[in-house]
Amino acid sequence: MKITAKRVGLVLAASLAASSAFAASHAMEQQKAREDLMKVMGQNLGVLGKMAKGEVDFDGAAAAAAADALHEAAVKVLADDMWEEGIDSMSVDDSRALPEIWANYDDFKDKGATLIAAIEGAQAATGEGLQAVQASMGDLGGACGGCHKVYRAPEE
Amino acid sequence: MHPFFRWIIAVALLGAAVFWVVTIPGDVDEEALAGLEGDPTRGEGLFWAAGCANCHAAPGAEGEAKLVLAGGQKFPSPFGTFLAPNISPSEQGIGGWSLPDLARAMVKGVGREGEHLYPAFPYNSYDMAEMQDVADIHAYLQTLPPDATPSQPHEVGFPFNIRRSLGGWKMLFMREGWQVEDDLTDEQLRGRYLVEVMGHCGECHTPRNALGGWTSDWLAGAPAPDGKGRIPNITPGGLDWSEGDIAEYLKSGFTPEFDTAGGEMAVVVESTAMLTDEDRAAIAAYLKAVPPVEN
Repeated sequence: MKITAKRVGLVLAASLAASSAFAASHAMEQQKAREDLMKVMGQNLGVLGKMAKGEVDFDGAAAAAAADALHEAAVKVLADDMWEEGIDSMSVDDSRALPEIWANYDDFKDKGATLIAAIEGAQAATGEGLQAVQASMGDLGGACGGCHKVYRAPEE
Repeated sequence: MHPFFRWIIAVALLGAAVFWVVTIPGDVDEEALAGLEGDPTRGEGLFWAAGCANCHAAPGAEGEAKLVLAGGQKFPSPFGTFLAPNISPSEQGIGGWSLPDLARAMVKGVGREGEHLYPAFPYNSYDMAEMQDVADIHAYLQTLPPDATPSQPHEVGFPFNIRRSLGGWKMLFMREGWQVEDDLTDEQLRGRYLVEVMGHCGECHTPRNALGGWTSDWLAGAPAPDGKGRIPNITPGGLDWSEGDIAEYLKSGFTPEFDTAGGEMAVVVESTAMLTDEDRAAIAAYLKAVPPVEN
């Protein structure tokens, strides 16, 4: 087989296409992984929140399990390798992660630390009873909202 | 001169005279205000209900810094970009403003030089504020930290830069009463005051016509003025949350699915979080009484 310039070009084009397809699927995977973890957080927040609102009877063990699961998911979603620059609302369909995250990455990390602190507060509160859990919801909401306020694009 | 031209001139002069008269800035009853004593403690609660800090704190201010009302946040709109002024108690802010000065701004949309203010400042909501509440807010504002940042001019082009024409806007679009007047419970009446007046919810949640006046679809949702995203319909036709869900959202920011408020609404929740549980419940009760709009 003769190696012609044309053939080299074709191979190059094919591998470029493959790598950009890989990049695109990698971006979509990361975006989905972020959302899946946040959904897990939402479900566990729901366990705590429904007790706090009085929709469900307070159950200390269930609350503690939810707070622990919330902590685990939050630690995972806040890891640096979940937030590769460029995997954002400008480049990935359905992503609402604003590019401002990477322009202010230190602040983004600070807000993540605030969230972890709020979750630790909730974990402690589950051992103290319903009133403590109710009080912890404000900090949790503030921490979630603090990041969504500046780093999440509005829903279309 | 041909009689026809005389007529043209006469009509034009009459038109100018009418324009001048209808666009004269309104005034407040200074005598009634003179008898009021502002209570800064009560004013603090009203300050959060009115959301003053959400627009007038410096861009990006968080926590205690939200009490420094240095101004500078930008509000893009189809008419230009409005820049929130400094309203801290300093020379650059409203340090020298009397109670009638503040009342004139809040309920008449008129500045200290007698100029019309742009309705980016929600005087079309504050217009029905109780004068005692204005006095209490006035007293509270004096207790906040002064800041020397000069207010910046709005970035508004012709013809919207002609302040006098805002008198025409007011004549056309200032509301003439409550938006919801059906039989309301005491709780719903309290909620109405918080939503329609202090909280000025309609400023964002009610759609506007091409000239920026409200349409009749009260709280039915609207495109975001900066063009990014949509502000939701919060009539019972668009929002099926329970009253408890609404109150919880205004307290912690959590939706019934335990997602959270984002963007501008996350900022609003920072101030509704400062209200009492009773007031948040009143807001929820009122929202259930709003005529449903399906869209």
